[in-house]
Amino acid sequence: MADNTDTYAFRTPGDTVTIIANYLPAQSPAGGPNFYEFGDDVLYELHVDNNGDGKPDVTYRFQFETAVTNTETFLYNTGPIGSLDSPDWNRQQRYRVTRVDRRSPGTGETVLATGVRCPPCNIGPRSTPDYPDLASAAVRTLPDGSKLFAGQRADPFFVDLGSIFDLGTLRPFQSLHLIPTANADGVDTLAGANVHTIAIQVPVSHLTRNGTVPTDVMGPESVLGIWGAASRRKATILDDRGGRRGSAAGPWVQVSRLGNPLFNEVIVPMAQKDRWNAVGPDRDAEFARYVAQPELAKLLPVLYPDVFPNLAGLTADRADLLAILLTGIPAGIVPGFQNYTGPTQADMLRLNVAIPPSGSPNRLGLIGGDAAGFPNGRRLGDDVVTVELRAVAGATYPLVAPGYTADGAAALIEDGTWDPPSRILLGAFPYVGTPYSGYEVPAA
Amino acid sequence: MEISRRALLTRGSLGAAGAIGVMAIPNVALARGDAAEPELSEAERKVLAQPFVVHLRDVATGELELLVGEQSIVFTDKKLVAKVLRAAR
Repeated sequence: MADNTDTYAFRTPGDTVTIIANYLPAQSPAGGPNFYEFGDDVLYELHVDNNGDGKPDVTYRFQFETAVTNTETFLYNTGPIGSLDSPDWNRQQRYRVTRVDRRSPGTGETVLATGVRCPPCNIGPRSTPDYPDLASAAVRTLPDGSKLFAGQRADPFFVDLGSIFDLGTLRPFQSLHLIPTANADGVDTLAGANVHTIAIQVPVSHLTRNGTVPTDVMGPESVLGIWGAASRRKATILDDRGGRRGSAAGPWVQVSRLGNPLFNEVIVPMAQKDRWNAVGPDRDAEFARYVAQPELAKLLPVLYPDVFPNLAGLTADRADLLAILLTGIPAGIVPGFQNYTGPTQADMLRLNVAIPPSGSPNRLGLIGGDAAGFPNGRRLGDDVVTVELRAVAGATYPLVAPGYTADGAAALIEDGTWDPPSRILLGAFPYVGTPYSGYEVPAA
Repeated sequence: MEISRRALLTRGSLGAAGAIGVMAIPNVALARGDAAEPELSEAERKVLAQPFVVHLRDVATGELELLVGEQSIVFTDKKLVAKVLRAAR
């Protein structure tokens, strides 16, 4: 419940920013009879750093409460769920949203909304017959125009996990691997899987350090650092008087966080993941050496003999990856662009909000010539796996070391699962698509 | 600093406001079971009505952590630690 799988942040119309954090990954849509939900015992947070110190300046906190309406049934629903307050929906979840602005006096806490209803999971045509309308009703618009949503969605992330984690099998080089196989198309591991989404759309001015809507791309005030997190109470006592409710004590302890995609998964060593997840991005200098000398970059020339000869000879610290992942890209690297937050090394999505949304997004974002995409924030359709694999393979190193020639193979790497027609995205908030129904998609 | 159980509980009740955070309280007279210890007041019982966990962090130093509300209070009491350990045998 507390596993933060992906975080997205992008500019949206009306001078707004949309931040999406997904939790509870790889849900089989037919996951009954209890189905999936947010944890009442988890504190979910979306953090924004607007002064480059890797610490949150603005935080949106989500806390959930679940109610069982009929204590005499094992069913998730006892009839079609036609509305969010349907008495036939037996496991209803609501949430409270608090905004914490650390620039404000006192605690800086403002309760934005309470009792906001989540939609149910998408069970099937009998139980949730008009799911899109049901989910639309779960979008809460606040008086200032900000929007909130929390509930099940189709997982927008696409990746061939089965291939990458089978000893780094990359397209189109399977046949050149040390243990070769025939070349084959990518298989999206998450196709047909659902996830739980927390999404907010807020005015840019609510997030920036000076409360304005920046227009100068090169201005430091234009860049936000953004990440998601989840925390649990330090102690939980299980008792025999009715389970866990009311038995937590102590401060919240962070157990998961996510800024840049794959940082936790592919950069941080397994033995250090718990620590990395427990600390904030301001502590990421501890982990910078794994970015400067990424394990995967050392493996590629071994796994693919003669395919990455220049990468094999690249022993210097990877200033390109340190910039992309830990400080942002300073001015002077990519003409007319920067998302530099200063010298503090911190894994955060870095979004330059002075760059408007693109009318024709390129899946490769900045390296595809589209400055509105990853690593300038992250959009739902950005092919971040391909971008990061190419970067690790050396494709971005010439940006900081013009004397280095990237291997031709680096620019050819593909995750192979980017396929827009198969992704269910919406044209409006919360943008993440309608979840797959359990009746129609019985197995993820 | 010598503080009484009553004072500790009062501090605990402030924890909901996040006013104290982590603090070191040496030589706490917590739960000594002294015959002279007065009965708990209603206000004190209310504090104890919420989950209240004491975590023995370091036997050697006698460091304990009191978890109450959203608060963590760290203090040292070797006598109490010895008493707890004997009770656990």
